[in-house]
Amino acid sequence: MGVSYQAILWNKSKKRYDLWMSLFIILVLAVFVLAQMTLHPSITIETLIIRATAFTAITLLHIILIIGPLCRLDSRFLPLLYNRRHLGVTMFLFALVHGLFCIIQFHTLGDTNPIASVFLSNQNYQEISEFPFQILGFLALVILLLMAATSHDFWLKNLTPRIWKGLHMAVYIAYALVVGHVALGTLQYESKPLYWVMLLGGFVVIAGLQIFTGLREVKRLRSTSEKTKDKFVKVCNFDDIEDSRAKIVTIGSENIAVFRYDGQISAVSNLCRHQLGPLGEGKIVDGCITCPWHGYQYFPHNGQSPPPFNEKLKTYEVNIRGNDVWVDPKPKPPGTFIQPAKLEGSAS
Amino acid sequence: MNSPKSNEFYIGWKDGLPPRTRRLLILFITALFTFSLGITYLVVKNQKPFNNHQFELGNIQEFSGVLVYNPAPMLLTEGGIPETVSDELLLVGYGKRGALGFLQEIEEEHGQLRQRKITLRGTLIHGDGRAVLELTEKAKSLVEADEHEVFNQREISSPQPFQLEGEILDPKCYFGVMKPGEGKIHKSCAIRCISGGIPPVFRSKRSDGTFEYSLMKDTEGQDINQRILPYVAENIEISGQSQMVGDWNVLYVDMDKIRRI
Amino acid sequence: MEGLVNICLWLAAAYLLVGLIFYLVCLVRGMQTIDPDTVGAPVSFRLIIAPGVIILWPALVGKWRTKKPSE
Repeated sequence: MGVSYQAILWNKSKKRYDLWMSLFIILVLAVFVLAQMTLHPSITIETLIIRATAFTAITLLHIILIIGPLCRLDSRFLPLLYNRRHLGVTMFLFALVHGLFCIIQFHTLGDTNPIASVFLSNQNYQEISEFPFQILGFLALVILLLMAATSHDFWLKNLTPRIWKGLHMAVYIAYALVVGHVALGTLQYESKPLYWVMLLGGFVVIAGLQIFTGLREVKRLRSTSEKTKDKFVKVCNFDDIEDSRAKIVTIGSENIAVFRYDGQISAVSNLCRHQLGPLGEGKIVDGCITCPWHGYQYFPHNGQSPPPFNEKLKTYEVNIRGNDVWVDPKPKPPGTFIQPAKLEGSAS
Repeated sequence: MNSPKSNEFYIGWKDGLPPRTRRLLILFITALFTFSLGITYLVVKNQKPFNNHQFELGNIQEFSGVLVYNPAPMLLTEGGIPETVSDELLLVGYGKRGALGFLQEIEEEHGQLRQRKITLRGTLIHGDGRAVLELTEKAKSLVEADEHEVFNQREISSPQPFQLEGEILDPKCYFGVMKPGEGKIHKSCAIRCISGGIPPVFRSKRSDGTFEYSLMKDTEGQDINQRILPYVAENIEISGQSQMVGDWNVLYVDMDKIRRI
Repeated sequence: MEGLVNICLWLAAAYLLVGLIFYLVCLVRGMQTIDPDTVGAPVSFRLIIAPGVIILWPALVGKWRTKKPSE
């Protein structure tokens, strides 16, 4: 970053995002509570809280998990990704209230430490239908806690983006645990098959979207280089790249974004220093490469963020021969100035 | 080639939504809201209904009757409780505890209370013909005690062999404190309650679809709580000898013959 | 099983207690060594990173020791 941290860096988009998120949650809770009071008036307040928070959390978790693949499907979904961390932290808070209320309701005031009781009360691991499902929920909550606790950019920087990203990919483990928690818990009690349809339906949508967009990605990222000359690899034709946009190429283990702007070419690492977002899907705005995820910016010729920020990208040597764009896949240290390659006869 | 489907480019910190992005998001958010609220309603609508058992939380009442300890701590009252339920009040402690510990504390202070007419304060739990009294104020639940012993007039039938299918419940939660107080989602709580000394109750279905509730002891008439914990809230078959003691059926369960179904 | 669970819970509690002490020490001094960008950050920032510091203190202890200059 390079400027001192704030608790939350508010801006208009984030406020609008949170407003819609709050509206959604209020409506879901209102329908849930009103329907319970009308259809099941004998429900206790504890059960109402436990169920309402569980339902809200699992609904938010599904939304969180489809935002990623939706953005890869169509970049117009990117505003949903912009403040996804608030969605994540909110989801965790609902899961936390659910977990705490369950521990209070089912495990306190007994003859055993309430947390120990989560692991000790039901020990029937042999039968699937009797499996101690609360442990699955507890483990999911621990993962979500780790993620929520590290959602500030302070952690992104101090854990390094790579470790941070790895930690936050654990959301898929948490999701699997939650599916198990529901399938072996409440679905062993409820009798209507509709609940299985909902749980499996959610799983099919999430897994399907992930697999579909993942395969597309793999196809796109497949090494595109054909010819090699000296140390340079031919990546594409100059006209293949739209102005102010990039082509993403993978050469060996290097993931490179080749940008075209003002009739010239620069190449930088495709991974944004913030959250490893795909810079090559970004755009040159005000002379800076702009990340499609959160709008982090870098100069194309040296990979450096404009002051006061101090993020730096790896840069790559480029040249243009005839109409072909060539890149040296050996990265230069982050922030190294590279003379942009100009198209011969280009006016600018 | 590589260009994203839309040529619009959104920068969160900089500007508002580009027009085509805005249109898609309005459509998506409308669909998401409608779909999610529909699902919310369906989730509640299809829920298993709760029983109508009652926990009169906050309403501490006094009940007088004869205190007995067998087959479980009970107050044999002479009315004063809802007409639809048995006047043999099963006693349980505060929280997930049996009444025994608290009654022993009371006896240490006031002398032996067995077979005496006493008055206890507590919170009534009742449903499906049964009543339970929670000693909410723990060792301070005794209001007064008569000095004379009273002859126990409960009818006791002769033992008969039985074999039943059903579920082990903790009567405190099941007869009103929790909704639901049975089945898988309540399992760990029932285990905690029974482990804490609340007398286990066996629920079996009669041929007419109504439930029969029985107290459980082992074949020697001893408490069975810790030994049956692995079977609580599961569908099981048990056998042994059974006997009516007053309003309660008592099962003397053969531990070796418990079978999961 | 019961012994194992209790030992694990005690270990977890001890680990988090160390984390809490580390966090309190960091508040007084050390945070700017770990990350110079924390200088001048408001109290709300210090609160919002508290759970993470308490849970993930080993990651920051390493940073403090090596006194790695900020990138």
